Amino acid sequence: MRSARDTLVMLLAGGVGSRLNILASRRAKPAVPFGANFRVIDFTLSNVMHSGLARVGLLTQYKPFSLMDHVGSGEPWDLVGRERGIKVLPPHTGEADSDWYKGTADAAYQNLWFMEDYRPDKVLILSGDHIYRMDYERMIAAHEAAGADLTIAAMQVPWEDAHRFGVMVTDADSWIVDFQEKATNARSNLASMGIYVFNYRVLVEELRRVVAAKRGYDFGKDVIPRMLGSRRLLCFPFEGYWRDVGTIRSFLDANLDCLQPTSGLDLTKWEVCTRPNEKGSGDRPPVRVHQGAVVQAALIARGCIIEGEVVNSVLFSGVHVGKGARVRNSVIMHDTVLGDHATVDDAVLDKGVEVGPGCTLGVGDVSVANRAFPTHLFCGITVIGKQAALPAGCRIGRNCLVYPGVRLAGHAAREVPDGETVTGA
Amino acid sequence: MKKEIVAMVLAGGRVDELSVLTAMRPKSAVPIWGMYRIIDFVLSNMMNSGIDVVGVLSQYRPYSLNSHLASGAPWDYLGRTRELRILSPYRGARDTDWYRGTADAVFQNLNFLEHYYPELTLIASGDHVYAMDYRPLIKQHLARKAALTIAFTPVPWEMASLFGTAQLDRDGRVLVYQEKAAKPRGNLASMTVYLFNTKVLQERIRQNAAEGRTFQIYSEVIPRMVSEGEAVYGHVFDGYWKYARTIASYYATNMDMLSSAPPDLEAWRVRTNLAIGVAADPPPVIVQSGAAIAGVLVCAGAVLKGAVSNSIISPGVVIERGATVRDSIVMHGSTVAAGAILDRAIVDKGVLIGPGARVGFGDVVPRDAARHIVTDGLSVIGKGARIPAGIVIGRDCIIAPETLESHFSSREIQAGTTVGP
Repeated sequence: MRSARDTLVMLLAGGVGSRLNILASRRAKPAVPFGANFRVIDFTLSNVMHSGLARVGLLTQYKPFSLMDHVGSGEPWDLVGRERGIKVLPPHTGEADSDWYKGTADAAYQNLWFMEDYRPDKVLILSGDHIYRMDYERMIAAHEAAGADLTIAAMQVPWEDAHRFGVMVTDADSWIVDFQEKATNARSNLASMGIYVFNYRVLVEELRRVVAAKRGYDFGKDVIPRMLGSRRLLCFPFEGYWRDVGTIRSFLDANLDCLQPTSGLDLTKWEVCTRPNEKGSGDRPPVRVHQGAVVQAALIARGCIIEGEVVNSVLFSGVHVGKGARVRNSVIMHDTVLGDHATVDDAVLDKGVEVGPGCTLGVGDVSVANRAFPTHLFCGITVIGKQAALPAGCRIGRNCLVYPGVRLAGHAAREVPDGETVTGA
Repeated sequence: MKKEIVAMVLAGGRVDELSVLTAMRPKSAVPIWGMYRIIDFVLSNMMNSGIDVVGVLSQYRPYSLNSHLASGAPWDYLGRTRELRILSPYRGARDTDWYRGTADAVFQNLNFLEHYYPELTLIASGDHVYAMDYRPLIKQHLARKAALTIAFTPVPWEMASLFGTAQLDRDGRVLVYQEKAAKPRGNLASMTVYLFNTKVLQERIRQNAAEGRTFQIYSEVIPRMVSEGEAVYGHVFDGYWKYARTIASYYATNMDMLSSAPPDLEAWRVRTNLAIGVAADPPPVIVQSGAAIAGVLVCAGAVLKGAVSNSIISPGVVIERGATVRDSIVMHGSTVAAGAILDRAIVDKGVLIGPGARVGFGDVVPRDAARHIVTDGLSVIGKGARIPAGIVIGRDCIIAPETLESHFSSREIQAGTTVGP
């Protein structure tokens, strides 16, 4: 158990998540629902709790409402008490700084006043965008034992992905000798996970030297490279399941990883905490699986009623799968209803979607990328926005996008071809 | 502080007929429908009827009930003007006793009522499963200027002798009230829901404390009020109302949830205490590939890898690969190991059914009627018991709580046997 005086946590939860498209158009990325029962940020907050950390500053910026509702006073993660707490730190105007956060380091810099209240020995900087289980205590202990100024958690990534990360080169004792942020010719595949333990004094000095001097605003791009040579930078290697759920593909895959005990994502062991009664979801009755239903490899939240077939899928609370309906390889969020004999393959359906009887969703040519968002939807996944309505019998192809609240009408009420986007406008 | 109405829940009762299920807890704390406890229904009814001060009268092994009720927050009883208070027995200057009956329990807690000096006091049993809006009853009570209004529900004539029954006149006034009469004159059964004018209640309860013998509201206070011509009325409720008087009726009430027209719990707005674990919230239901699930009510935190049919599965239950569970109830945190078979079994919390064990095997054997335990072919496994690998347990068997592998002297437990430490 570490007090705020020992280690203060700064959790960066402002992520826009633009590649998640309509899944993150009305909520910050950390607030995106995940794993039938959770939101993405639950994983980081549960790690904080299980690591014995007690005082958290939560830095928000982008559409923070569902996130703030969800985090509340922090009691689901044992963050309420005389020596414990979580404080939401929204962007603010000040004497000199009147701007939105310009980057991760800028967000920390603009909240130095909060850290100064506690004058901690160390600051743990986290992001709320990732699915993983990690004991930060071990990392903090390694930082202390080595006498580092900054310790960065890192993991091996495939070489072809290295350019998407900050990568580091280390010596035999794990000291960082080189650091490159998102370089085209990465010299290493040891990628930063964006988890930093800073000595507080060093953090303050570096933020003043870089951010206050307007030299840059980002830890990975601006602050860390300038510390090379003058500060003691330690790498803390992490092995295990860790995913950035920043794309629709990675979001669906990570959800489906919950179903495979061999994936490394094991909800029965990770002890993830959430706000169990958010919007009354905890008042929902148990799951009912009817006679004649088929359920194979599924994660099913409270209040679901299953009359049809669910295979390799994740169902959030209150989902109803009608008679003869079939769901495969999909994520279906809260209160979405699949009418009788509807079929859904390789799709993400946001909350409250109505799928009419006999609809087919996700049947077509995988290779036809979405025309409006070819970099978001290109591997066959179709996404239906919150509270959209698909009339009976309509056929929706692959890589399709239906915007939140759209009630399909006219030609689209019969068919949405592969790669089409229906905005309703 | 003045309140219009205050409620008291009778939650202390131990019912022997529920066998080992009430060995460690009062009936009101017995789990039902996977994630609820029986008392949740009356507390949710009170919450949904706008009653915001509730005292719970409890004395039999209250630990599990008290931890379930906690601060009352699950039913929204936490706040400046809202309260859920557990009223345990205590020693006073004169009264050094346990509650001698329901009337005595109320008598010993008259100070709780006097703190709020409500016009009306609702007293209801915590042992029944139903969703009732008490407001129409309250309205009728006020319109009739009643001293006491009792909720009644029609039951089949052959069941009526098990209840307090009444005959009402056209205005709902109770003409006849009989307690568990062999040949009752009416089939309107008391739901053990009593709305008293508080002044009348105080007077009658004090009178009963001085002159009573059984100290029960149903057998002394009500009959006396009726016979002395007080304004005692009945309010008829005809919705779903079930109880768990015996193992067989407990099982049947559970299984109603798997019928083709199950109670709509969302419409009932029933609440329960979700604070199940300290370390973590239960993850969603996990169904692994290879499982075969049909006709099942299953709660968050269960992991299903085997075959489960026509059964009720509570949070944290693990059904291993190759296990079969049918027509059974498996409560919180129990594990059914690989190759084990449950057939018409009621498995309390934290039980381990060892690999290849078989519970509910062979013919149905009626139990000794003298013990009042009708198990109806059901075998009941008490809390925390460990069933040895490969053992065969017949029907109508009872395994006491905390029974260990070493307490079984045979590999085959005959139908109708009780095993315990």
